[in-house]
Amino acid sequence: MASESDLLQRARSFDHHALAELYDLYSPGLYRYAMRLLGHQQLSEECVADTFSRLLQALQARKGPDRNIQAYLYRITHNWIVDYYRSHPEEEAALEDDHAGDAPRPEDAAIQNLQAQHLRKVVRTLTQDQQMVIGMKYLEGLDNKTVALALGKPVGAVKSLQHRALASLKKILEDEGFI
Amino acid sequence: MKDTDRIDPCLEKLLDDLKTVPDRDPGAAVRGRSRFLAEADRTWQAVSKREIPRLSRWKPFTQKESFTMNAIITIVVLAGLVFGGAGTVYAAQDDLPNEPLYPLKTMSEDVRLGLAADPQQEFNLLTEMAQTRATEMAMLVNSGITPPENVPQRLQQQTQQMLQLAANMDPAEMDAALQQLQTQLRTQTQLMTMLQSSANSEAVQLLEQTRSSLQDRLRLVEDGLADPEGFRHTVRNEKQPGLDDSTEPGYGNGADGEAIPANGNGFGNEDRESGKPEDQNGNGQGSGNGTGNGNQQQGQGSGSGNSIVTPTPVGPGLGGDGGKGGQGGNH
Repeated sequence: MASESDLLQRARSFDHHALAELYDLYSPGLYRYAMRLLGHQQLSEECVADTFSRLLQALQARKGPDRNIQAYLYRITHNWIVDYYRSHPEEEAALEDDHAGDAPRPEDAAIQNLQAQHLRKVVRTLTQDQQMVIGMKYLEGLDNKTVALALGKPVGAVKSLQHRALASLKKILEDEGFI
Repeated sequence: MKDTDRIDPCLEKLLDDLKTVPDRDPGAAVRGRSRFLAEADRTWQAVSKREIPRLSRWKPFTQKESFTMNAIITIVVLAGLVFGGAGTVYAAQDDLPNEPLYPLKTMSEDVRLGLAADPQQEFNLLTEMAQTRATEMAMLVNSGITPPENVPQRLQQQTQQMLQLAANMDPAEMDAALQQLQTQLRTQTQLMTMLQSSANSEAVQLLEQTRSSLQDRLRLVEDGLADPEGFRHTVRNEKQPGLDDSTEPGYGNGADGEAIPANGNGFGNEDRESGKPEDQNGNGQGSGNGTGNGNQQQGQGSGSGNSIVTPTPVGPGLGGDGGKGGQGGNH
């Protein structure tokens, strides 16, 4: 497989093959990330499509990432999700949840979905940077360096954000009786 | 995870619940990919249109290397004028094989190939064009349309041309080219497999044939990476489909009785009953993409037979087979 810098360089000259490889490499992870925070398949597909469309626009304008394209793409995806919830506050509760619980019984799965929906809502009460740390690190399992690049902050700042995000989450969920 | 990353177990359990997501719908994934690549094509067209430096590679018309190239340019220019002006060729770039300007799109591709400054550039163009063919197939299948046979045929022909070019590169270049081709062929075979899940039965057959053919080429490339000299030998001595097999896709040249440069890659379907080429589907769309060394001759191209004729780059006179390929299809 080509190195990331080589791939990025070829993508900058709109090498069809490199762009296809970028899509194949990163769209599955971005889709999962969107699904975890949106809980809706069609919306998540739309989010991934817009993410890659924005990448093309950036490349066309000779902008975009110089390195670590993964972090760059996660940043776009996350911004899309934040924008979506900001512009569709009324749909937050009405959104049909496609989240797949692993419960065998339908009623248990329904409860799991409601719980997931609520948890997403709680995550959204965090600051945008804290949400990204939770999403990228604890849901996607990405390392601190990639999270730091996506946030445009040093690794130390990511650790601090992570600490505050976990503390806030724990407090809210304790107050609500989930923990 | 390090100590500093430790998380409250109850909180961890709750977050774990969010991790489980349903598998992505493969059809939606393919559609998303196709849309992205189509958008990339459109964006690239806009970018390349703005970039003037490409013109610096042009020589005066009178210095262009072959009669074929000038003939093709004339055809494209005339077609552009007939169909509505210089913007038509540009507009055609978005067309799919079932749309009216598609022949113009493939013709303009042939022109770009003919203008390639060196084999490496030609290889890069072919890579891009082969990927465009795969994307076109995906877009048609996702719209419920069976791709016309000339699309996978052209994909296979472009892949074959890439193999021929790679076989004549120096060792380092060949290795890089084969690696690139390997990744592309893997992606395309996977795409052909994925597309079958959302295709009708007719399209499934076509997709499977294409997948099988691409898989065959992939094996050749993988063998080539392990044994470069064996690859050169195999590709150079490979039986060229179409010389005597009229069922294969055609890349002959269409001008009746005219001497056409033998290494042309004209592309067309034949009307088997009348023996006449179908004008819309590439009568005389030869691109003259030979990469041969030595004393290539002008062959006697006639008709537009259904056989892939890939230029054989070694030895005098082998290019003449391009014309034979066209004739083969008329039997």
